[in-house]
Amino acid sequence: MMEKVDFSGDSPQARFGHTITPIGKDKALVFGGAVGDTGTGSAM
Amino acid sequence: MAPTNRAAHSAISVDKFFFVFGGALGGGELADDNLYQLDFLTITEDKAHWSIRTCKGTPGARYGHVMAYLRPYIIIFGGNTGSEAVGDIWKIDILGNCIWEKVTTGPENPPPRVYHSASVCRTGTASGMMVIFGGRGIDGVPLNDTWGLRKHRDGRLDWMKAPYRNNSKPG
Repeated sequence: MMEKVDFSGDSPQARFGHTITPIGKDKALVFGGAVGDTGTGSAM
Repeated sequence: MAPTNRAAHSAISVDKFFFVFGGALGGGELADDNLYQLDFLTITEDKAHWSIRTCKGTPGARYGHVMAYLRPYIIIFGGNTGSEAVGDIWKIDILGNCIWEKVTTGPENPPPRVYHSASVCRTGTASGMMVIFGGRGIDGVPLNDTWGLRKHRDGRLDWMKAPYRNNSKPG
């Protein structure tokens, strides 16, 4: 079942073509992606 | 040495390392073909210490490919090399000799594709198999075929096509 997760802190900027990868036991890392026509940097 | 901004790259984590390969830059230009490595245990609030993993050979720059970890190899499959979708497989023993090698498989192989997805089964009878689904073929048409890449005891890698109902079309 899909569930919406509550979180605090700032959301990553809106993007597509990025990746989200589990790291370690309890974290996931969002990397890269594009905003409009240009690639953007890494974010956590 | 952080990777430049990119999209349609692929990323995985192996042990304490996060790896990034390939992708495209703004304007459709290909990103470089370095294997970027980040020790994610050292990430702090505002700093990530990247390095380029020194490897022999390269799968070549590409975007829209997949990357997966089939111990002891990182596998790269497919993507677009700038001019066309490809269906090649590359492997690298990331904790060993760090040499990129093109993989030769059996007679039946998935057609070239870009923007597909992949995941590795971790339990059950398909444990250790990399399963890929869909993507966009050479003619630009979306695909809905499923294939499994399995590593044999002797190290050989082979594809098998998953059985599927021909009447199940993507919505």
